[in-house]
Amino acid sequence: MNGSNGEVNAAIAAEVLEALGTAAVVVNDINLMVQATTNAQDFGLLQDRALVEVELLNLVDWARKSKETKTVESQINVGGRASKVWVQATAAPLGNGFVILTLEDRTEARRLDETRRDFVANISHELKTPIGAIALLAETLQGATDDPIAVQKFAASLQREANRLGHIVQEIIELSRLQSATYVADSGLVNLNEVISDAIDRVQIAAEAKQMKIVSDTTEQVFVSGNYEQLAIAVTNLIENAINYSDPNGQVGVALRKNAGIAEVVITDSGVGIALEDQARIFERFYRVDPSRSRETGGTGLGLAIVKHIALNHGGEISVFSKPGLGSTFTLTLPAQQKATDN
Amino acid sequence: MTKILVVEDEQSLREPLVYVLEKEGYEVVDAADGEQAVKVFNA
Repeated sequence: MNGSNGEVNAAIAAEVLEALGTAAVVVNDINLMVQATTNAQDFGLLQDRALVEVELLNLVDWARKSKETKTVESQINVGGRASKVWVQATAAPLGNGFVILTLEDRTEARRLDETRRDFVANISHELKTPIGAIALLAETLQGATDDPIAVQKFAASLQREANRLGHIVQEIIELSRLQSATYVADSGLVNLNEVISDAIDRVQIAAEAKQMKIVSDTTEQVFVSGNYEQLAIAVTNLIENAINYSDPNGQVGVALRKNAGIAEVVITDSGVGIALEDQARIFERFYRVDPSRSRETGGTGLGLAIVKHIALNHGGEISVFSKPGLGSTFTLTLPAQQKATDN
Repeated sequence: MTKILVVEDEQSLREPLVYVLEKEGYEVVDAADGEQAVKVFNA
């Protein structure tokens, strides 16, 4: 009687877990599967009703013997997948030798952790360089009081490094704010034509310094729902990049279109372009195609990551088309709104 | 006199380093990257 009770309990447990979408396997006293949810079968842990991973078997045996629940995180082979998968496995005794094993795929969470660790390491490096320079410059200034030309030169460097540090800190704050927000704060109806002309104003000095012409084609009025300042930052970053990665006397095109309910802001340059293998990575934080160029332009390596997050937070996306030597085209797409909806 | 080769890609670090070392009486040459450093070293 007890045995069938156990089986009934196991069956109920499996049904509950199926409904919850958990990956769960119930095994009997000799470690043969009596129930498995669809998700668990997708994991490919079983071969002829038997668990194949030794680590999971050990976990199940331990739980049965000690009559306690135990959770481990481990890397296992999963049927049909090339790379190992990180899982969090929990084994809980159900009585009469039955044990339920639940699994959660932790691969994505681990990858995010890794990205976060890289980010911290990168941030430390990016911050340490200007801080080190500021300390060294200040020290040098102290010993150069009798040399006005040196004072002038190092004071200018000091100011430049302080500005750079300020810029990096500001962008880190901006990015972390964007990443923590799953919705767009202060959302409203935004006129993209205004966003673009505002962005062009903001980069005017940089454009003039390089004698670049910015040509905009924004005849159509296009509205989106979102945050004006964020969208202005995104478009400004894209135009700034176009200027920074072009030769002097060049031209940057900014076009605004609406296509089947989708607003498109297209920024085109005829600059250095981006190799295919870099194109997939340029939206990562601190990724730089050419670190020395980026230093020259004062780039922080965060500009495009910020653009990507602004696009995502607005339900849109950012894409790039580029060929080395022929320039780049960045397209920001956002769901378009009718102007009337907000009035 | 001791001659020092300073190789540093950050201008804001390289310039004060060169200045301080020169002030200490060393002869200093500098380079902003490895390639330049090899060239200066061989010169």
